[in-house]
Amino acid sequence: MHSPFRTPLVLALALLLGLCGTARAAGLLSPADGSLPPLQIKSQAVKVVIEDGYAVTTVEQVFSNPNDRDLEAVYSFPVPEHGAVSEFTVWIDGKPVVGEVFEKEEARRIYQEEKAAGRDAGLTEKDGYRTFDIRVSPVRAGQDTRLRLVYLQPAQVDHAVGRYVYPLEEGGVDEQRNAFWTINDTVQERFTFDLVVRSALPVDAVLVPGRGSAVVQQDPSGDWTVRLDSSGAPVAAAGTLAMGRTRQGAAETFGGAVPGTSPGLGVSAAGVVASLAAGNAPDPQLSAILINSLAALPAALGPASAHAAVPASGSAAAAEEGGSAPLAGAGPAQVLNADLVVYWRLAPGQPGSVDLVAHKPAGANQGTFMLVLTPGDDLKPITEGRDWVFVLDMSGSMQGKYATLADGVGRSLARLRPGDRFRIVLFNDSAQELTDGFVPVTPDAVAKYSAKVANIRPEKGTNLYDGLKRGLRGLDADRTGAVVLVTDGVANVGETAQRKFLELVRDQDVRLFTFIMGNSANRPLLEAMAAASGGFAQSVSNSDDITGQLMLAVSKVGHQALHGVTLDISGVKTADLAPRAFGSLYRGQQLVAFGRYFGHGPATVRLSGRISGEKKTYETTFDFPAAAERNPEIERLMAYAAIEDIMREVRDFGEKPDLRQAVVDLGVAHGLVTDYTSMLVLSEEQFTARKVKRANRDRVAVEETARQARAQQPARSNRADAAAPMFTGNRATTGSGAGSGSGGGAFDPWMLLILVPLVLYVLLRRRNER
Amino acid sequence: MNPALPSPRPGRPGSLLSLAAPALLAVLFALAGPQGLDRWAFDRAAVAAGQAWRLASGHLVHCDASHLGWNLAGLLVLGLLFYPHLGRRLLAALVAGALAVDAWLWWLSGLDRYCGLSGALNGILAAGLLAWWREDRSWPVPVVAALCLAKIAVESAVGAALFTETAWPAAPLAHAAGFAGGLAGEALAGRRGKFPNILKPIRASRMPDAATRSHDPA
Repeated sequence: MHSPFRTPLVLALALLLGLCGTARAAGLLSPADGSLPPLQIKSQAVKVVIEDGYAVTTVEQVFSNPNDRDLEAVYSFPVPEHGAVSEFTVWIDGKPVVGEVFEKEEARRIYQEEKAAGRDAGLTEKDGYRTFDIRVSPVRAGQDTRLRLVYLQPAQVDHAVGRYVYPLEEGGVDEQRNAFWTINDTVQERFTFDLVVRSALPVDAVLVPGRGSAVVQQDPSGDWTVRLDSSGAPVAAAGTLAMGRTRQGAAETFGGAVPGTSPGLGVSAAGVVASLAAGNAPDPQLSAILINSLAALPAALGPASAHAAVPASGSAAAAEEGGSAPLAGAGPAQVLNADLVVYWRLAPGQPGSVDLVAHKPAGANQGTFMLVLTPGDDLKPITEGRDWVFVLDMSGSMQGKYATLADGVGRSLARLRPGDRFRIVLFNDSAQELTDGFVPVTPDAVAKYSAKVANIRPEKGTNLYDGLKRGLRGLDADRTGAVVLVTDGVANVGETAQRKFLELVRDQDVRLFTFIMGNSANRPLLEAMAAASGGFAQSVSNSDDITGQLMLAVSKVGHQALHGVTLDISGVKTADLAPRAFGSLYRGQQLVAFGRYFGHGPATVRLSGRISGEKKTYETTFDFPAAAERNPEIERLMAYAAIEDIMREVRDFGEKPDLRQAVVDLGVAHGLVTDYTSMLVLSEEQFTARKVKRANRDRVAVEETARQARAQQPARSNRADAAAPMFTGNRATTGSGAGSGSGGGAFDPWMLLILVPLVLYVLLRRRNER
Repeated sequence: MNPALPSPRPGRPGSLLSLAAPALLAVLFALAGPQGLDRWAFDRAAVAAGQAWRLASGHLVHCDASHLGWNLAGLLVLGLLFYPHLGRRLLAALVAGALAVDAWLWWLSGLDRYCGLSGALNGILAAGLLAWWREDRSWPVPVVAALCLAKIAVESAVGAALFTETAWPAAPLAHAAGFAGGLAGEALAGRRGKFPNILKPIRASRMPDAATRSHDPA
């Protein structure tokens, strides 16, 4: 029985925890009742390499136990988008021991046995779409424990802008969890973040929104690096590199640690700061300016710039003088409660292309591949008036994100065109409509409803089904419609079964565009709904350049799309293509496909779909290699894509033994942490005693060797269709660069104003004549 | 009143009418709606496939009513302002601007689609300013030229129009190309002998009476 007092109480507690800054972050968990003393995160070092179409993230951290008894460390962090954990290593007796993957229950049982016996053990589990949870036992009294986690992700590139997120901000959507645990999200001694973007295509700008202390530089080989170091360790000074593209901005409080400052508000403030920098009030052009001048706004974004202007100059000045730049204050910590987002932008004029990254050991009959298809910009703009329905989440879990939502909605409304109409539906425990039916787009209406949305106070639960149902009601069959759903996506009131949501969406001839706020959203559900409608889902972090993200979405929605996409490969035998269904391909998006291949030689790759009902096919021919050993990680990425496919089926139709077993088999064979498999670290003696095959250790060694080899080589082009391009034209961008349909800009009122001196001169002269 | 101010040149309203044709065509294309945009806008792939007319028609189609409206207003104002100085070369300046934009589109921009008259309008602007300056060195000419160039430079640098929004993203470099085209066309016209005084422009204070001038081809 649901107590009427339970939800308010839990929400009040969650709010309190939120205000205290102890929840909604990555960090060490300890029981909220204080029954166990807390551990500390002594240091955390993050290394990211983005190359060959995927990112490898290595997180190495040290936990410290200042107490007088041994304790278990429980570290939790949000699941990175499509992130496949491939390595979990714990230092036991000073030596690194790589973990192996077991079925989830078995891994937990063995871990508990080892823990009970007082032996060293570590366990990494996946808690659905929410978090990865790491357990290490024991952390000896007065000692440190070191561990490493590695995960792989396909790189996200949209409109020639890449985006990487190191997720730290936990969504706060799991009320029970928030009530039970407190989170120590403070790194005591040192936090470092090193990211390198290695691309054969020229990258002309890198941006780290809200991280003014980030040092961004390009080395002579063309690689871009981002470095954050909270310890005050020396960093390269501005202007010391050959390429002269070093940038360092304001000192800051990593993770929005300024008391009382919500990251969401920070993003809104960022918009204002950037607008002022551009010399005008916040306006729809801001997005284009942001995206087009990523390099020009290094420190203008984010909460830090709004709150740390004074220390900024000192730090930057120190760097410019050629000395080291101590970035941390006297305090010991960084707070891991806000995501770290990095954008990189390709130089204009890059062609559409097909990139092939394969892995096939010499002599093997079977290989794996990743195909990345980046179409040319041939999707035409949509110009007729449309109906928009904004379905907005105002539940309690949106606190901290709602300011970002309201900001984004206001900007979206401002970008609607004359002839468009809109409705706004809000939901928490139930749904209500803010508008009274469709409202024609006028400046007054946009201002009125933007203000109304901004004044909403998020509270209560999340009845997503009710909100969506209300939004889909009353659509005009004679006009093209689109539903924009913005939510943190955890349905916990009313209907919650994924199947019901899909039925609801499939019943309507309308595209659903979903913006997923935060890291703990039910991303699988939201992605499935968007795909079922032929729309798309887009993740938005509180640390994102929200305006830039909005621009990407507007560009997609404002153009035709390739629907019902299929990918056929002939000439070379392939199998296990993942994902099984591609849905729709919108402007600026890439299609990423994984699979196995047998043999080698020329293959014809055909991409098909429909644009406005007309069939469209792109085709090219290229060779699949006989041997390729540069990217062994492709095997794991392929397996994880297949697992995601299976999990989609599980969520649609419920868990079945064969589906579960398929996930377990793939997870164990490829050393992946999944919903049904976990990674376990035991001492080498225990691995031997339990006769555990060290398959993952061997795989990790192969991957590490390959990574070191790649680091010694220049970035490589993986373009496969250079001889027979699959696409005409350049890839899409958001701005005026290559591949963009363009109006050339109107001869605007300001230009007419500039001509006024000439007009006055003529008038004066004529008067003089008379 | 400053008695030293030179007299304006006699108007040639007939030359202004030469701009009526592109204006009328722009309106007719607009009446065709989105299909007209698809059919007539510059489209790299279509041009490569033989639809060369898009290099011309692309300047006359617009992505929305606002885009068309402001460009027609610009055409009218520029025509009124510069016809006394450009005469029949008004249309030539527009064409020079359009050709320069086409060259930029095809060889330099990498853009796949383009529409709108504003790039070509900058051709009239540049040619008109040069012609005016050659005639009488009026002080507002360099001021206006500097402001125009500054606006074009800033917008080109940020890759977006600062003050307007159109359905298709702005391409400010098209304005720069049009401006350069108009400037080059007008300078070339002078070098071909139409303006023998180009190297020795008439100073405002010594300007002959308008009725006695002989270098106006119109």
